[in-house]
Amino acid sequence: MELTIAHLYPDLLNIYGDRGNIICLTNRCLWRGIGVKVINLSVDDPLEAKKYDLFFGGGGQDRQQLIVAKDLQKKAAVLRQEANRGVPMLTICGTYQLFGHYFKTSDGIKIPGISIFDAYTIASNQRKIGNIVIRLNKLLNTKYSILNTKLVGFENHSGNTFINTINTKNTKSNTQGVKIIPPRRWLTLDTSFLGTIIKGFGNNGKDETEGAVYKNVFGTYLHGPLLPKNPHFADLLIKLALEIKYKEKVVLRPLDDNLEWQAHREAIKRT
Amino acid sequence: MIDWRFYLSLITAKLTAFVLKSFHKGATAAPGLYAQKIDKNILKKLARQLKFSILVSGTNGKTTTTRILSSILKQANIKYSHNRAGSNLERGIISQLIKHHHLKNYLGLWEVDEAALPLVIEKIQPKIIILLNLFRDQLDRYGEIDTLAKKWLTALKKLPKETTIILNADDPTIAWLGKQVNCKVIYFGIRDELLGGEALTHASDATFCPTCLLPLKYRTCFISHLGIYECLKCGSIQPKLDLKAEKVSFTQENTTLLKLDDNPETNQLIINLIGNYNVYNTLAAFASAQLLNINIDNIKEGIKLFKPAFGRLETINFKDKQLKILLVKNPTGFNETIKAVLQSVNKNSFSCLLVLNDLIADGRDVSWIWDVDLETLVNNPNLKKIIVSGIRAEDMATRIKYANFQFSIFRPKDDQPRAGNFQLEKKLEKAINNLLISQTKDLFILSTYTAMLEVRKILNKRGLVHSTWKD
Repeated sequence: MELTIAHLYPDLLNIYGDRGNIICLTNRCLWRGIGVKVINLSVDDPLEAKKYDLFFGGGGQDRQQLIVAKDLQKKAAVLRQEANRGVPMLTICGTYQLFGHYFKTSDGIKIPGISIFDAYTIASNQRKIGNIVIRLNKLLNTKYSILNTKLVGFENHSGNTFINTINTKNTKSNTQGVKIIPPRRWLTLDTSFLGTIIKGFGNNGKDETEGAVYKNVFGTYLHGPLLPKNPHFADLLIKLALEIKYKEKVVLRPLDDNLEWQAHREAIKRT
Repeated sequence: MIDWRFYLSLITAKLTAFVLKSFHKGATAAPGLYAQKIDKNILKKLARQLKFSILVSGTNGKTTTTRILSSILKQANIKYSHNRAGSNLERGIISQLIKHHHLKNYLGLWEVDEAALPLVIEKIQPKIIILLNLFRDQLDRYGEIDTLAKKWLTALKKLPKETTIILNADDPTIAWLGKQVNCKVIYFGIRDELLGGEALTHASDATFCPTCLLPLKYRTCFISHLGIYECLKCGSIQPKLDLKAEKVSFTQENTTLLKLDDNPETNQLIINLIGNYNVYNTLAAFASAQLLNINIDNIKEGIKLFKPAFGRLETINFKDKQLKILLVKNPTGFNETIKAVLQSVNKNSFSCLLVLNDLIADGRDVSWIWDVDLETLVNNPNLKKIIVSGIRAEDMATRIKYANFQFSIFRPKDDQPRAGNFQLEKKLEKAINNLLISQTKDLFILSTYTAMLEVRKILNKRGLVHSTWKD
């Protein structure tokens, strides 16, 4: 078996150690004897459909993100087509924001995204920085049967992302005053959220949600980098990519992840 | 009229310093912090009494550059005040200034934190500012480099014509600043192309033309995005250099010979450091010393007598072994450190201890270790043992596990580390012991800032002290 991974704009979006996710995916495939090719796709590089089995895009500086936003429009049609085909994608921070409808800057300018997520982002003057732990959306646990339900990472963003189908009207407070979303909503949403906040800010610091999911496309604010410390999530992406490519059920050979889980637990302790 | 607020602030600061000293506490920022609370203009008032000030800022090399310059000033018998002991924030400078009774014969030599620079410029109104470079560093604290550069520019634009700024022309962002200010500008850089590599490393930051935002074309890269570049689109090129290193050679004794293009008299400098970084640091110090009209022999002698500071490749002898301790704090610095380590061991086998903390001074976000090309260290055939420690030891261990593309530390087709060669040891004291009992003669500790302070304490306890640690 073999996977071709597309790394979106690695020369422009590369400042938060996000390439660790690529290193992680590559190794976890190689250790299992699954071949891997990583192709860098940047400005003006053509994007063909059905060529890539997994997409990844990270976070970057504002200036670089502007350059990406412009070019991403040229790749939008193919990306949407692939997303609908079920191809897994992991988008973090800057790429996550651009996978929504738009990013509204502090000057009120709307930078268009590619509308894979039914979500939008608005700049704020509060930078949300710190360790973050989330509990995965229950929908995902049942859909993908994930055993460990937590993700841990580090967030650093000033944009506030809002998923359209979730607004504060959908949330109500439980007895501790923490806003919760009624479980019924999870299954009906086209774009859902990746998880709920245990500690940290998440999408906007208000509605207790973090990240977004559309089909097998995931968006999140978690750096860290995300995958090396959350090996269950890394394996989910690999499994999905193989299943879509080979159109058969795939069971990955387990690896010794003691070190990864230790890092996961220590990171939670530091949060 | 007597400025009561000023005097009250001064007395409080002096009292705090006295009390701290009596209790042998090393808090260098506290007196300044209290003084600032009472009189927020105290820095301005104190700095006015100095002859003038020199500021040094940038992501990497502040401490070394300031110390080289201090060595030159000492050689030239110029009285100066210098925040040598550590704190490079406003309060650290105040703490240093209140130590003197009369300031009027002193020159101020200040290492300044990148984020604090705009405010310090405004308050001190320096005569010379050295700007070394801008790399991604503790993004949780400093923000992105473009944002920082813009803040610097706003402050620099307000400077009068008499001020001189000394800029690294090989850093596109820093060079860009020089084109937009009213004050005098001196550019320095490296022109020995043998020193550079062709490719940009992953940790490169400012690889886009600051004017037209398109990728720059690099002919050579000396460190990360520092190099010889041009923008093919808008035609903007690197400014002409006023001071350059034409020929650089590193010796076996960990020194560097530096040939400048000037005249035969100034032609060659010798410094007790290696690495491309320190070529830039030496050039910056040299440029400012020339600006101060210091005699060339004194400049050369000052540079030659300079001793590296703690965590900047100083060596401790232990039995028949050599222990070197290096500070790592951001991707580019770490990459350069790895280069320096490999350069200094040549073909001897060596052992390494990596210590990663995530306290505020280290940067709470440890993601940056994934932007470091640790592969070059971990897969070096001469590395015999690697130990990781620190608050985030597990993160570093995971990074190393995944750096193992060549499987030289880990057994082939096995993701389990070999027990003897790789150790995760949370207790720093034990980790250091394990390093000291290594079979190899060359030992290295690479550590983040707060971990470095602990390392120093532990080594001190064992009687392993280096002469420069006292200051």
